[in-house]
Amino acid sequence: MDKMPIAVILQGIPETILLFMFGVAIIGEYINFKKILIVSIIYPFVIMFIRSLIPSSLFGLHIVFALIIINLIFWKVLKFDFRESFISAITSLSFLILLEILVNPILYNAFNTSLARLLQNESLQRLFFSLPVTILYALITFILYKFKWSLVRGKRTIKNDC
Amino acid sequence: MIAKKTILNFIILLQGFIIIIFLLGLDFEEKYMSLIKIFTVIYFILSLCIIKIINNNIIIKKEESKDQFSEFSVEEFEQNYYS
Repeated sequence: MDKMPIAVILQGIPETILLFMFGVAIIGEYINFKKILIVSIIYPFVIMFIRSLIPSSLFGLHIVFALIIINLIFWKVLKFDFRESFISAITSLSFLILLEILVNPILYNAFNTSLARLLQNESLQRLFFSLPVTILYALITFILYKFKWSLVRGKRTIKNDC
Repeated sequence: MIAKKTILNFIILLQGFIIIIFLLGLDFEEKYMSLIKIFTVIYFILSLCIIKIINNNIIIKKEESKDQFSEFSVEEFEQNYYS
């Protein structure tokens, strides 16, 4: 997520939609797109606000707050039980961070840049660097949902077993 | 038993999450970093496999206990009814 409002809209909202879709797919439930869309519009701005409060020396602390907020959203808004909401929140967020850790350094090397340099750059050019991770994340979410691969047997996957 | 397994879920996933967050802040030489990344990915996949096994057992045990209860209650009902 970002401090730039335009980056929040162009990068944060699609990424958050995918994050919640991944979370729902991983516990084998049906995607409620309406609820996810509403939550995904609000959530990036909440994270942007939290990031603005945290000093730059503590970069990364907002991820812990993000985990708590995502957990609460899965639990209270999407109405999963606490065990399922915790599994989906932590798995979806960990997976997104892991993809970023794996893919971004390859891109930075290819274009001879770094994260620090990109964060200083206020132009939309840096949104390009988040695109491969988002596409990969979308692809994995689609595969999980399509082939009904889940960690917990939810409503969708139980029907598949019977 | 289910509560114990739920706590086990939390511990395994939190461990993975903390490792991934620490990985964000690490700044070693490139060859060490790639090695650490490979181990993290393997750890993450393994932890997901463990979570899947734990949670499938929970569902199966829930279904088994339901079946046992329903069989027991029907038999008891019939015995009481015919006696």
